[in-house]
Amino acid sequence: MAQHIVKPNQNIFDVALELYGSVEGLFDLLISNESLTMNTDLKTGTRLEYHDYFVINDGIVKSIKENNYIPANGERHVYFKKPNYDLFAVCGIDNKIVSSSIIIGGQGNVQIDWGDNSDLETIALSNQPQEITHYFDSIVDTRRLKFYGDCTFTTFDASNLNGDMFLTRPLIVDEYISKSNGYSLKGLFLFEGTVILNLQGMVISELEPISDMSLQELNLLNVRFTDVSVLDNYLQYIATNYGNRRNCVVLLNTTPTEKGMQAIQTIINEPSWNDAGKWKFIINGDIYTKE
Amino acid sequence: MRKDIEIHINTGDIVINPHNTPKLRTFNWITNNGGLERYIYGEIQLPGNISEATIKENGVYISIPYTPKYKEFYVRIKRIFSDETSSFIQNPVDGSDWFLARSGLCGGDMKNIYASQLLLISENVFYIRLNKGYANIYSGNESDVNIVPAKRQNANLMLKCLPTNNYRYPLTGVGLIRWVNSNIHYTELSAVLQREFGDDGMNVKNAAFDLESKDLQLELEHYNND
Repeated sequence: MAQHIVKPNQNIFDVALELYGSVEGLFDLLISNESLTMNTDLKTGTRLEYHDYFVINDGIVKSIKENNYIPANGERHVYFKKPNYDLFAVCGIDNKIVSSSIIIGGQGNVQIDWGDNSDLETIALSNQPQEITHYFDSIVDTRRLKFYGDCTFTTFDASNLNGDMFLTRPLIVDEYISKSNGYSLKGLFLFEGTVILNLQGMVISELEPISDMSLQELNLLNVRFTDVSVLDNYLQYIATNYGNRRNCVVLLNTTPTEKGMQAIQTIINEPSWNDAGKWKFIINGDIYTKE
Repeated sequence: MRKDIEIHINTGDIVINPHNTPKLRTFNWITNNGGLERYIYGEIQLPGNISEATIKENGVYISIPYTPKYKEFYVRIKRIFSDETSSFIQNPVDGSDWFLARSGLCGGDMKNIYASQLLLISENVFYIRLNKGYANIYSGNESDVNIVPAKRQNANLMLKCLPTNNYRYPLTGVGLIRWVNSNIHYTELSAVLQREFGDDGMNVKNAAFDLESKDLQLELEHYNND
């Protein structure tokens, strides 16, 4: 008995065609896999057993193998996918990207329209972050992911989302992670209650979207700023528009210019801003904090 | 023969890229010191040689970039003349320069719209039309294909489809022709209708078969997501 691993977007007829050279091979598939029925929704990565000596049309099987064809017709939906919740974000994904992944934790439900032929995916959030990965099952000109939900997030890791995320309404996100990409941070303007922000390795052209966040930890290690003034302006904004924010630990590899360093000195030396806890800037291993 | 509908060679889908190229007018978010905190304010600028009547009659095309502000907004339309003087189009309802922006999101009724929701209407181009003191906002993109719910078409497909006809779901379909050409057992047909449409997320509220014309009247109700 041999095993076949279902490829993205394959239905049982596709598998039959690939293994037996004819859809009639379906019966061998059904016999060999007790749990399989005509209505089973095959998932990518599912293992199916089959008799490898049983080939109906050898020419087709050979041709499929030699040309590296993958029969993958998936399924198309007749009716409009109607979500149960309000939209909170839209994400633009490059049409050449084949998969997308997020790690999310929190409370409530999230429903994702992956912008292909798949069903809306509903995820019940829990405090334990879970990784949601999706392989797109269609070829499109422009792909838009839509996030619906009635939820708050304790963790939202968009490092492998592979696209710009634009929020349509305010969203509570305690911890946001987006590592090693160059996507826009504009959507972060609508984040609420964010305390930890990890933007390691990103290419950043603006920090205005996070300027008013009251953070506890800001990780900007290995960030490439399009201009160092982006960092300077952010630090100066904090010094001049302090408001009610809390003290924060800022991790940096990029050294600000004199203007930025002055802002750091102002922040760490203002007694009232360091009462409850001290501001700490760790730049290339050097710690700047109130003595 | 129609030539303006094309199929994308790679995706196999109908191309619904916009075919119109409207003249986009300048749009900016502005500070309105006399305004209310819960709103933001935008201004559209037009040359003064475009008459007020034309603007009211034809509307205006503008581009608004993604605005991450969850606030309703007002717009005003400023006509700038060659001598650098300007005038605003007056709201006929309250006499001010401002028009509250509204839109019918997802086919719904016209409601006040939040700036951050604009990308639900269009990603770049918007068409604004003044109506009864409001600025109604629509997508500025037009294509040859009108996308509307196709429930009637789907229902017809379901009725015509015989089990074994459907590639992905070979057991699906009412196969009405089987019933038309035989003595109809209404109870059995109604059971099949209920089952087939029910499996596809539609509730059959009422069905009536006209033996003379062989027309089947169906009243359907959408009840789930699939």
